[in-house]
Amino acid sequence: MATVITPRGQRQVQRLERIWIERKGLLGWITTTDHKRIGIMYFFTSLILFGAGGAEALTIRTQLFGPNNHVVSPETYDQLFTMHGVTMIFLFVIPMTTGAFGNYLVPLMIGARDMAFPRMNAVSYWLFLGSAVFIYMGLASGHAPNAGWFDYVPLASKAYDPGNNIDFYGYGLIFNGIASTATSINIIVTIFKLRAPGMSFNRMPLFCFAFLAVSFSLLFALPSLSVACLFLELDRQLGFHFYDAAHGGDPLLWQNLFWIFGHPEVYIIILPAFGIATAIIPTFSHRKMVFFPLVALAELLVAFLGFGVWVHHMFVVGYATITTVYFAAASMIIVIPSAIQLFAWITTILTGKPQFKTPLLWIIGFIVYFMIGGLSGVTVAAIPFDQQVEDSYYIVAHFHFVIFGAAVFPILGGMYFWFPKVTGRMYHEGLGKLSFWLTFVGTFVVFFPMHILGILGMPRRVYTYPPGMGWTFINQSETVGAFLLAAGLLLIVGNLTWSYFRGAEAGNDPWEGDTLEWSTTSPPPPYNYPVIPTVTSPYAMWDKSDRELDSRRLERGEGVLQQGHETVASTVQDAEWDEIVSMPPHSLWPFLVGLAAPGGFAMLLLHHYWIAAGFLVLAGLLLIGWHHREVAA
Amino acid sequence: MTYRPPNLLVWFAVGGGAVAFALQFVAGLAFSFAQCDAPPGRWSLSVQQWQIALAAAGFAVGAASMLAAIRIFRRTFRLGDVAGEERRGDGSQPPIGRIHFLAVVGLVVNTLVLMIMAMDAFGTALHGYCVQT
Amino acid sequence: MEAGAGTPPRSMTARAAAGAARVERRRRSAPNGIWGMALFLCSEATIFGTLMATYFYLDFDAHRWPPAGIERPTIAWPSIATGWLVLSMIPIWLASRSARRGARRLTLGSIWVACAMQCLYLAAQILLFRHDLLHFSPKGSAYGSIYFTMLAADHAHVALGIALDAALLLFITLRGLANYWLIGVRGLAIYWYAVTVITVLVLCTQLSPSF
Repeated sequence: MATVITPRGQRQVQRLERIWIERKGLLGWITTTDHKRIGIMYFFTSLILFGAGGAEALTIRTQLFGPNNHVVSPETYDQLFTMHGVTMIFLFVIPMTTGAFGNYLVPLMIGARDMAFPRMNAVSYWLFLGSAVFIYMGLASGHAPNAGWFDYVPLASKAYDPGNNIDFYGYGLIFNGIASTATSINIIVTIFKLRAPGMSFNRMPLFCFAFLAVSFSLLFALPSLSVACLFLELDRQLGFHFYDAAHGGDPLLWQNLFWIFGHPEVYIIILPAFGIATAIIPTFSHRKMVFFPLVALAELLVAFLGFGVWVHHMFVVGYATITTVYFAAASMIIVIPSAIQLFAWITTILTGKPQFKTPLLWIIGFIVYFMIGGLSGVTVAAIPFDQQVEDSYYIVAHFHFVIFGAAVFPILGGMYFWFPKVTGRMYHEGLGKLSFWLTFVGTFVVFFPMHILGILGMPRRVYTYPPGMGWTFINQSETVGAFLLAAGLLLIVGNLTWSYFRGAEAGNDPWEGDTLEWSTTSPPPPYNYPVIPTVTSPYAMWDKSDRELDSRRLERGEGVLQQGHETVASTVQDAEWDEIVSMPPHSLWPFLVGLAAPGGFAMLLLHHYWIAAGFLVLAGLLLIGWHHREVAA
Repeated sequence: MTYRPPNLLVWFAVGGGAVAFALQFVAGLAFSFAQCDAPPGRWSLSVQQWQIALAAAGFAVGAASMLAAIRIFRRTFRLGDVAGEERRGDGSQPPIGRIHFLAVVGLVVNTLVLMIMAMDAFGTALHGYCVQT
Repeated sequence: MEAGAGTPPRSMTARAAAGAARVERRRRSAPNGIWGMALFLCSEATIFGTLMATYFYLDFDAHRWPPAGIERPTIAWPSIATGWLVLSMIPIWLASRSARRGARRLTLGSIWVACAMQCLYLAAQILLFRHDLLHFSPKGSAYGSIYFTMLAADHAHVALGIALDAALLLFITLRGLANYWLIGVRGLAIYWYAVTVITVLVLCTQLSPSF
């Protein structure tokens, strides 16, 4: 709390500290159900995987440095670009945004003490970790997926890819999808039901609106991918014919199912970035977000319309134009909600008193890259143009601008922004700005020339290229840019690591932030807030009277909830206090379920189907054990 | 007495256009996949006529939804004139401000879906039957 | 106990049926567990939507559907079986209603009856599935692949529902109708309503060539 706590208030806090005490050591982390610890585990795991995906990218760029290079074999190259895509999308961006940022920050921003289902939160992490290990076992065994991150049939069918490579992909993504589905359900119920009293939807931070949109998108998009992978494995393992044209199947069925997931997926990637931007911009502009309700609406609209554009990834498959126009139309119109948000962000910065600290620089970089990437997206929404540049480096340029430039930049900015809150230390501002400029310039140098490369005709996913095509100098520049980009990223890691040990003390609120997490200590205590906050405006932390009221309530023991691990459950629309619910403390069950799952998928991979069924039964028994004692008060 | 639209009208203003778009989209695609991607002779559908009719029907519903949204928007515009209890909402009645905001949602959503449906109708009318142009 | 008038209830302290029913009556919003189940069912419904869309996608692509050599599905027995499943929603509804009123024995009895009906349904469907397998194979054509996959997915969800019935019967018998298990019964009810609706839609899809 911003105000001084009296001795009476201290006694309330001390009682809470005893109730919410965390187990120490490895066992503490294995059995944790605390959203903050789980968020930190997600953070470091996905960061390591980001490093792996980055190493794959640097190897690709090294291979493409010159014509007719042989840094790696063609087979290895196929595995590298596939694993780069799979890692970055499934094992880095989604876990980092929903798992790390979402888990850590959503309960704090809404004034709750944990997520709605803390044990399910823990199992989501262990399943994510299991799926990552499972997929990387493929790489370790020399059988990594090798048909591209979107794994088109018939290349991915048994006839053309008889090894285990594609099975690591198919089973791995089903496995990974279970973790993401569980996380999305958790985030939605947390946002709906655990908001602090008074935090009606119009007073909820825009960050939470973005995560609500992401979670709904995940919930409705992932089933399509799971079904597609199920069909693929049934075809490959049991000889079914979903994708086999000779027996009435259709290879385009895979593409349709994949992209029905795949396009909402790219909005799943970008929406958390929007949420992070809408958290950072008002803070560093020292003004409220322009058009707050329209920005919230735009975030939800992007998620909704994103389900209606998938065939724009398939304009060259031969569908009749009276089919593809539906998708071209929707692809053009989806620009409008994105543009509303861009307008709101830029106007908020320009009409505020911007302080160009490192987090805001990253967001400005995001805005630049999102605009350029969005514009190239508009060009490929036009069917004739897309048909010319499809499968060329123009497309690679477009999606790296929007995925790296527009989704990863806010993640990096968010890391700087919330570093003081999570660690209690300040980062080094000078190194922060240097890391931004290195990364910004590196990103531009590596990805912008790809537009030109694509128009000059260089196809994507080629192992090498002949000399004399006019592509060599551009490829060389891009490789240099890639290493510059890597240097920028390494500098971020160095800066934050050094600052964790040597940085100045941050205090509760170094930025004068507007959301609730800045009202508690840095790092937050296990119970988040000594008093469940009351909220009467969308900028809870800028409402000093409410924060002073919380201090007086702490004095009186109101809303402290000290009879166990307790938090408030509210009504959905208006967040009126409805009941007091108990949060489960430490639990080993999620970890055990997380151990059973990879066992089951490994048995499927090895064609031991009865043993796999045994693991499924084991998981079921563990889930019964999980519930054997109802959560104590 | 402040104007309070029936709940059904508010729901229609917010979601009528979106639902009509979704149905038009799915049905129109189903027709074109059925006719254009099936083996010859399997179906005999007048795909373009169906698609134009679906887009027109969807547009009509979307336009009605838009009109409902405009009506509610205008009738709830001057919140300053509304008495405190009515503005805040009383019991199960939502606050007038929320109804006004929902009307804004309807205006935005319907604008977008009407544009998409209009483009769909033009696109299907102007292109050759079951060919890739 | 917190200061302040009208503090909402601590729902997890309601360990007995009567207390849980009181908490239930005071609630103005569905509890977290119900929201979680509802959202899980959105995901499952989307899976089935994808399966049914795949069925019709492959149907539209085919010269003949079902392919030559495969008879159109019979209407009678699958429809009767599905009708029986629909009827089992009556004891399920009764179980939910009884749980909300704190009537532990009636809740248990209703779940037992529903479970028995659902087991009978599943047994009948397994027999029909085997019968179909004797006439055509999922490995023979895309029609067989989607037909058997869609039905197997549906039967798997029914089997899961029966497992949930059994788990709740066990826990309510051992631990009583505490608030936690009351929410469980409500969640079970909405699970079954959703699975039944999905089963009806799967039936319509399965029988569509015969209409």
